[in-house]
Amino acid sequence: MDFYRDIPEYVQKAIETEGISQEQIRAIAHTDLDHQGNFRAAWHCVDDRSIYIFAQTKRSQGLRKVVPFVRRREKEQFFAGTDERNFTAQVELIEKYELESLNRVRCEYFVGSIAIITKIDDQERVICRASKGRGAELNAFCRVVNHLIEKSGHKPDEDKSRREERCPKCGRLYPDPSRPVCPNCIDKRTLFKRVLALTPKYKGPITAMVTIMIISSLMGLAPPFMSGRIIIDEVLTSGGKYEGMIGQAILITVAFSLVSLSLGILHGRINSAVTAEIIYDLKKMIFSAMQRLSLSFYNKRQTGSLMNRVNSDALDLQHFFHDGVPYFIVNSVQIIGVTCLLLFMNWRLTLLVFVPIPLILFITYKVLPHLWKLHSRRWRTNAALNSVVNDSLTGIRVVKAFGKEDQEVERFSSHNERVFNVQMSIGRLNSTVFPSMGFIMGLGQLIIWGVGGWDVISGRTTLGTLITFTGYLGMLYQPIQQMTNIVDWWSSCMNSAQRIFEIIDSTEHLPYPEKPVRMPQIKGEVIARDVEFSYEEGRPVLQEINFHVEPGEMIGFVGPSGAGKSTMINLIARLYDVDSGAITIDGVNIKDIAKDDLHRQVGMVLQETFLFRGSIMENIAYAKPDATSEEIIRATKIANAHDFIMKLPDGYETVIGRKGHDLSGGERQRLAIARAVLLDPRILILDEATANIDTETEQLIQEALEQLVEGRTTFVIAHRLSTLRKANRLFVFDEGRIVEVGTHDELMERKGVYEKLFTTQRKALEQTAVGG
Amino acid sequence: MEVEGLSALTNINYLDPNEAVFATTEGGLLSLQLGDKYYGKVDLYQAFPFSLEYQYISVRDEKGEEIGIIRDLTEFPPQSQKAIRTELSWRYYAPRITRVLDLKDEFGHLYWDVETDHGFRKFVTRAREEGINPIADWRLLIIDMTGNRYEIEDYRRLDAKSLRFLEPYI
Repeated sequence: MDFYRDIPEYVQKAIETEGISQEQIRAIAHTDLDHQGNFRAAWHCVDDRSIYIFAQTKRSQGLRKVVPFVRRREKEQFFAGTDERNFTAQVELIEKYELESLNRVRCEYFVGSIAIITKIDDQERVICRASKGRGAELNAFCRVVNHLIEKSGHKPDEDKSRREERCPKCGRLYPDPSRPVCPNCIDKRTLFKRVLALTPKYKGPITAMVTIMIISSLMGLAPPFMSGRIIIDEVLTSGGKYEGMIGQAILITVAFSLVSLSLGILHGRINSAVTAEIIYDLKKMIFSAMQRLSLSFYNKRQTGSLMNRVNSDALDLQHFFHDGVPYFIVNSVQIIGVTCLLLFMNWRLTLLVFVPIPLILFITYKVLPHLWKLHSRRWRTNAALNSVVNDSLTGIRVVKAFGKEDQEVERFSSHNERVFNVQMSIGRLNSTVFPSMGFIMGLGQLIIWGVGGWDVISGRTTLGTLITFTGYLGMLYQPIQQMTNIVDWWSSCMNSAQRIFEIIDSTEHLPYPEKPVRMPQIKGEVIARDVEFSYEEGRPVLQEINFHVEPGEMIGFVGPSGAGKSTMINLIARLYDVDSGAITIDGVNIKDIAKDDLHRQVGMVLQETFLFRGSIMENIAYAKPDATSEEIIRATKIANAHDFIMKLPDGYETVIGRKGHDLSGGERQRLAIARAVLLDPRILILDEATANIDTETEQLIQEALEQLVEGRTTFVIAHRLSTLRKANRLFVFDEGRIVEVGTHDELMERKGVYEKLFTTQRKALEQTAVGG
Repeated sequence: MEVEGLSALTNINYLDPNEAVFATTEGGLLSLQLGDKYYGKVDLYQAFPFSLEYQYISVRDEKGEEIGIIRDLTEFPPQSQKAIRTELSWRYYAPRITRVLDLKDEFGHLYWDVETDHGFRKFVTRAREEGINPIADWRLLIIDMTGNRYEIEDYRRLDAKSLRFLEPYI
């Protein structure tokens, strides 16, 4: 048994000691809480007769002092949820339940924990408790147990819910246990290498750039040497090697400077071009990664922070490439070059040069991490501020309607103040740290003047050497100071890179198989088998959904709001994946169908019609950009949209969307229908708009829909039950389940949920009719 | 008729502390004896879980229908109170973090190693505001990737080392 291998050896031993053989075990579930709420591991095994609970029994000493040891053990065997700092690796059989005495078992989700509950002798009883991450595993366990208790029904799917919780390589917890991806081990290369690796096609220009930079910074070492050692010692001093050759000396210096200058210009030009291209590529990469992500990713995040990501993070990286990397190379060459030259000229003085450096480094490592944190906080507060602005401008109608402008200003101000405070802290720190460093460097200069001056007076060294020395000092301290800036840049850049990779790496997109099933022509048979789904674990939105829809059937989904109808259509169109069970089209699991085949043949008309900025024609042709004008007109005619479009000033080329022409709800709805008609899908999904539409428009939409559904498998969510009079069957949803199935007449006769719904609605309509 | 129906919907039905008797069952669940009606298992829902933990608690039967509301837990006799508190501690299970042993920010996630009033624990949250929720001035609710909750009642009272780990994120 697969699941048996996954449990720790000491548990296996305990199980064997109780005389339960591996082959007998049908399922094992692991829990991590005891009945007092303490973190204590237990394993629940079920065979054909009983449930056995093995739990840790001996308390540990607590925190072990020898950390490396703990770390090592952790890598070797740290089983899901067992923290041996709480209880030792020792388990005993603590409870046993005969299956015969049990009623069904079920998993109940609370806000902060999960429990498996059953009924024994008519009394509800908690069998075990666990933390929330264990839900999938416990649910699977319950399914097996219920199957064993009832000894009927089809066998539950193989337990695939059991997953490792930790990365086997480094022992880290997986951030998301449902996704065994260790961010530490997946990125073998460091972030920086990854950033560079984004740009393989720029290898040539980058190599050229780096070479130029090294040469030009080496050349930069010449001027102080020329002015000190050569001009003062050899040219101006009598008896010097080049005595009196001042003109030549100057010419050579100028020549050096000119070469240096042209190299600098060349470098700048290549640099700007390459950086711009890298950033262009990067932004494209982020944006396409975002498009790939599934809806559930967006449900969890603020749009403000996402927008910030694309723009400001990419900008950060741009700064880094454009300024950071060149600075780094130039400075390192300078530091190394200057140090060598100084040592060559006078090693004693050179050692003195280095006196202030420990102090500089101390500041760098003590103070700059703080600055780094502040930067990351500035990013966060800025994102929050953007969100507030976004919120309040998007909801400006609500703000105005309730007259809460002042409150919004206040809300903005409090966030703005936070940004201000962080900015202030950064500014304060910046303006303290860097001048202090300057002062320390000035001290270095004085030391050299003092000691070197004494040497010159006593004749141990020449004046030229001293001048050269002080000239080089600036070239040494300055790069070191700038290198500290680089640390800062580096960290803010890596911060950005990390956030960008978080999106690029995010696996929150629907998995597509490597070899998808091509389905050029779908017939339209749709089957749901034991479908379960929840947006949030523990809050099942759909449960035990089973249906079989024949090609060409029209199915109406009805039920109170929140019953799971919209979720069901999202699953059929595969905007989300089912948690368990399967949906098949023509016998093929939709997870295996090629993406474009699926989306080409499953069309949706959604409640909210989103129109992109652009012409009406572009909007209709969104799903089929190569549609001809004739096809578009035919589609709009079917959708009853042709007439109103023709009345617009620019006909099909009228620009709509932001700043464009405003369309009414009914018009938008008909454009959406036209979009779907044009796509000509085999399976059509309609989520009827709830918006108030006048009777005439409703009539128009109704007609359009009737033409649209012909010959296709159609799922319709209708709020006006009258829309469904043509449906072959109605599925009545209630609290995430399909509770009734049948035609309108059959369901009315049953006097169940549907009948109630229908009667209430009719009454309401009558009342409005009378009242109106 | 219609109007009466409406007022029944909007009326708040507070449970009488003398009439409603709560107890923890042998099976570890919460039962309620209300007059001569007995509920073998009732569920509790806090209306204001962060600011008024022990006030306005909705008591619901197994179908999720509201039986009534506990206006203030302290009005109830000690035994009922104890049973209710036990049930709440399960429903809103959130160990209190007493010490932060390690906190690393890597790859957009925070890796925590903490000591709580229920033992040691390691877990992962999404970075920053998505994992650490300030719910009152000094109080933090930490929700990990799988939805487990941890609470820091007052982070000022943590030891210096813990605070150092936490400081950049609050």
